[in-house]
Amino acid sequence: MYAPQSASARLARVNIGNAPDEPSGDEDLMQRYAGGDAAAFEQLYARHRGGLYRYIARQCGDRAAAEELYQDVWSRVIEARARYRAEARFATWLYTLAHNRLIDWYRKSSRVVWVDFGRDDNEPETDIAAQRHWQPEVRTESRQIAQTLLALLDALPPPQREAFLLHEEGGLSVEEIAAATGTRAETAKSRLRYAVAKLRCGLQELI
Amino acid sequence: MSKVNMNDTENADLSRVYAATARDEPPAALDGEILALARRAAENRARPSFRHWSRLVAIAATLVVTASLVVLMESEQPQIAMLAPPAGDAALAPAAKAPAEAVQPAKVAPAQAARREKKPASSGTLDLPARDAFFEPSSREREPPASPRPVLPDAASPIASNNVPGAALAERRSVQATDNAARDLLKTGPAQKDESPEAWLAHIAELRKQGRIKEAEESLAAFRKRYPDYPIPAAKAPINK
Repeated sequence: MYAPQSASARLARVNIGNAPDEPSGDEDLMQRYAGGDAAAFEQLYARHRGGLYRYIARQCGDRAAAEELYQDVWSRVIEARARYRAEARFATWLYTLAHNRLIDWYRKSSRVVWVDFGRDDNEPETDIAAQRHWQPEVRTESRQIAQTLLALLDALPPPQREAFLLHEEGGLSVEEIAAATGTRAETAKSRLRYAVAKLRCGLQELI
Repeated sequence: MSKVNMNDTENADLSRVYAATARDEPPAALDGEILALARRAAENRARPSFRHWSRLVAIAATLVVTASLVVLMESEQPQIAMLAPPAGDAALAPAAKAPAEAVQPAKVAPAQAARREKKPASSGTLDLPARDAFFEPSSREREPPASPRPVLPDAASPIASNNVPGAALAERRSVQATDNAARDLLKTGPAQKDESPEAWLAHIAELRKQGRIKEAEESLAAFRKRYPDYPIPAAKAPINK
């Protein structure tokens, strides 16, 4: 199973709030916040602040715009607290808000054409098979590798990059990525596979 | 979570490499703004806003005003019913008992004030202290009541020409008749209020001489009301008594 670190686990290192001994679920925290518990929101925010920020920043490529979008997404979370229903994971809902806000920003700024979502589904499967022999030597990981990975990430088509970021930063499953981006699960799965294959290919050349 | 058709070890390695990349984070100032916004929102939820209170006050004020109007209307309704002139002879009977008031045309307002003070027995349905407390007297109320005189339908009257139901028309005609009779009395009677008792009695005697017995009777009754202790000579006493 392609299992990146969950957002909650990774963001525990970025603890700016008062994390409880027994961590509550995101959905529980959100419902507590909807009931007026501001401390619950602080915990929730601490869990998702880094991942959401990186997702937005790497998708829009503009730091100032990323900060504005990031604040806007959290404002929407705050405004929608009374309407929140724990029918899905909080992370899925949060990244859905972020995805929609990014789409609005793309349309307004006319920076990226977001329409050709089907093209990556038609890429040859052999590209991925060829990359399966890649074995990254993480023991020799260096700053250069990290920088290369970020450069490769930036070079990905936006839908593939988004699928990878939602998986890595948000901890979303393929189905949740599909739900957050408004696509079918097969499409989301394909995007994620192509993204991973391209990243590994780029890193293999470097190593 | 759906599986991606790739080797787990390879994926874990890629995730580790990605995790080692620069961990960009939002600025602390941005964190502060968002958390402050969240705290304010939570406080607003816990403490009802001004808008919430203003709505409650508006609703309460509306209820109070509505209830007051309902109570006021209920207290007014019986008086309004009493003010409405009843149809037929029953309506005319009380008015016939008050000829003294009917023959005082010149100074209506002082007469009204005097009536409020004296509260005579013949005040009929119009002298209602409770109503006086709420309303100024209407124009119809200011007019003196009339004697029971047969009323003929007035073809030229707008009332007669109106297309109203029978009961309502009869009621309006009754009121009209009362008004007409009062007007007639005012034409025939002297301005007794301004005259001395002797002059009034002389006027009554003159009426008798002229054969206007009925008018003399009515004027004498009014005189007795106004001057109950004044000795009336036998010659001026009512003929039928």
